[in-house]
Amino acid sequence: MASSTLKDHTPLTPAVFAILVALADGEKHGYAIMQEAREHTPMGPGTLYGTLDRLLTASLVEETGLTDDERRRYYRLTSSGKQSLAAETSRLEQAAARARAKGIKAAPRTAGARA
Amino acid sequence: MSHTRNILLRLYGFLLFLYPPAFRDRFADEMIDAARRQALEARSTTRFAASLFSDVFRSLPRAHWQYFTFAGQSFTIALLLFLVALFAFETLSDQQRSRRAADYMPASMARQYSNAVTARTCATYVPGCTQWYAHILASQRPQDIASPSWLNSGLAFVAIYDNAGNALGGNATLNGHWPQPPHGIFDTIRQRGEFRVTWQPQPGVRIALVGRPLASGGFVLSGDGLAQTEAAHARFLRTTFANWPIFIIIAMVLWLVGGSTRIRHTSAP
Repeated sequence: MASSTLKDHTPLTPAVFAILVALADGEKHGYAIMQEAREHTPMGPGTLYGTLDRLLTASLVEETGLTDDERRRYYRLTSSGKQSLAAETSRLEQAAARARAKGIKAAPRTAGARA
Repeated sequence: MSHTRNILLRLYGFLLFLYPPAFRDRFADEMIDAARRQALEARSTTRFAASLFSDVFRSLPRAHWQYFTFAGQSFTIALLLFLVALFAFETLSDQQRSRRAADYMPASMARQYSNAVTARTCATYVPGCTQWYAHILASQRPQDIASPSWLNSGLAFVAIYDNAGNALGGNATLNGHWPQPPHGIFDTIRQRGEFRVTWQPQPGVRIALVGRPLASGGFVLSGDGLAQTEAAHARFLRTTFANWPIFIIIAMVLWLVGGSTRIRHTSAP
């Protein structure tokens, strides 16, 4: 597995961030990750597994080894993944704080488009 | 699940063959399962289809880039390079072939007139013979070489010049005057014995020009319009460009189905 540093991975793309956030509260299978990630960013199976593949390669995510079906593998964050997610969250918070300091107010949330 | 959604899922299964083989082997079952669950939960079939297929085309390039290796794709790259080289070679060689072919008639005419003036009794180094030959040519109702009728006629013109390269007469004119190319041409003819060059006296008039010296002094130039030759080359290029996408599609198919691309990049996500 490739070793990785936080500097290598931040800023994260919206898809990567959404997947890491989805896994932040525990292991999930692909479809569950996709369902949660789609609340934040458009994501289909191709984007999900393409991104998961890169995250597995970069050792930010790993398979748990558990499956309830051959077609459903479970994934979880590695310690590097948790650090990357924390670093990105901090970066986004700082960016948001800078925007708020300039009088920018958050737009009202709209429901994400779902098929 | 509706019949339409079942068909869409089958189509999606086929589209998964567009992904790199290693990626497909690893994730295809999970992707189909995710798409099936998505189909079960989607409220609108149209939006489900749009979301699913747009995702395929969004994620495909990145997946291929992720699995791309020069070693794995060496055959495809070699094929593409070969096709590009073949295309460039054919284009250049057709241009060269066409251009050389355009010299054939003026070269033949220049040689014929050069030999005729040399062989004639009056041409045995008698001053005035060159003038006399120019007069004979000029009496043949000169045509304007800038006119479309001459440019598309496939006929070559002949003109005679004195030792300094000034036009004495010919069977063609350019805007009412004897065709007068740059004087530097005559120095080159003097040095080489024969000179072939493309002459563009004005926009839209391009001529394959061949010049030879005359034994009685002076020079003969013969020229043929390049309009037909260049139109034929343009047709060749259009045909080649029209077929080019077929080569690219073949290369893309080889790229997509290439089975040797099973090395995963270790790049950052």
